[in-house]
Amino acid sequence: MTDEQPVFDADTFTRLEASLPVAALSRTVSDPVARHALYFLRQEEVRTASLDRLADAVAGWTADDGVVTPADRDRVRLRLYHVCLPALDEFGIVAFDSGDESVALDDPPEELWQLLEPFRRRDACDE
Amino acid sequence: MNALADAIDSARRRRKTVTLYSPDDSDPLAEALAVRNVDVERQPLPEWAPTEFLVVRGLDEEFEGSIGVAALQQFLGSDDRQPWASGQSEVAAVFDFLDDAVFSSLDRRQLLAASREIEERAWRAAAGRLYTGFQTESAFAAQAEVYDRLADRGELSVRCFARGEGTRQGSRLRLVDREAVGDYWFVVYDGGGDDDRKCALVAEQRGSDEYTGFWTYDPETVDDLVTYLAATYES
Repeated sequence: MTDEQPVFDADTFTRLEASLPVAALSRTVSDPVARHALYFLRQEEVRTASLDRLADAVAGWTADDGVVTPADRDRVRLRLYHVCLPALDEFGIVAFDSGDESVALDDPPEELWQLLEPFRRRDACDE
Repeated sequence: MNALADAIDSARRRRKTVTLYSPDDSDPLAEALAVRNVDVERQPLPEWAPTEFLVVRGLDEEFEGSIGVAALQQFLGSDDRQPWASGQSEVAAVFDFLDDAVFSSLDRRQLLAASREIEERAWRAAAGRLYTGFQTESAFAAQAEVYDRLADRGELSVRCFARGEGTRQGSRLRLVDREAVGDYWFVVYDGGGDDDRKCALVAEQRGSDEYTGFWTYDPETVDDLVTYLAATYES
């Protein structure tokens, strides 16, 4: 469940690479679950969320036909818990506490959102 | 025991929480959800997000389902509000909250519309038993023709209740001298033995034209009501 990665020109890549491991991080955010988790957490009113809240938000947001069953939502929650959040935590982008299942945006550099921008433009155009 | 009051209390305890995830402050479902007495919370989405959706959780906070607002509006606006029919079982799972929720405030017109839905179900099935509480004899009299037609429909039988004393020969109306019946507007259909057809509306009068209650398609809840009403009717 990954999307094709946008290609950055050499200048942009170099600039982003100065603050982020662009290639590795691009692989992580090519997963729509990781990406939409970041979109949700980025909001000023949010910033922190329980794993359950985040799973609800991402599952509903990325639902193809508008309906999410408990099984669909469990898949998103598992993916967040085992794959996306540990990876984003590793990059220092979020602080994920797997014990109390809480997530907080960990003051990521502005370059993160620049890296996400091509994805975001596409994600904004869902039908 | 008053099974009618118990059923309303039980439905109230099953109260659901609905969270609306939306990019703006509008409340597209305010009207649809207002009558259903569900708790609606809000969570933000960025203004560019191409979606808004509802997440439904039960009393124990269990995730029950999520549905896009567009899909929900389509459902609410359609004449067929019976998602259990025509293979929409996935949608039906999400819409359980609409059925089992407590109506905080309903008037006679709304109750009559809901009652008609249940009566029409019984009519289509042409089998089983329909229990209806009219509160007063005059209310029954106003619907007597409708109920005569229902009683003549196939194998369907009807049992009607109103508050009062004595019996009415030749009438399917049972007069019951107890508050448990007189204070409640109810229409309970046993589905003729088919769980998928069972449904019930139970409402308690709170003011001259104000009721609180619920409707349900939950077979167990309907069975409990039928057991109580059958015993009351025979007693």
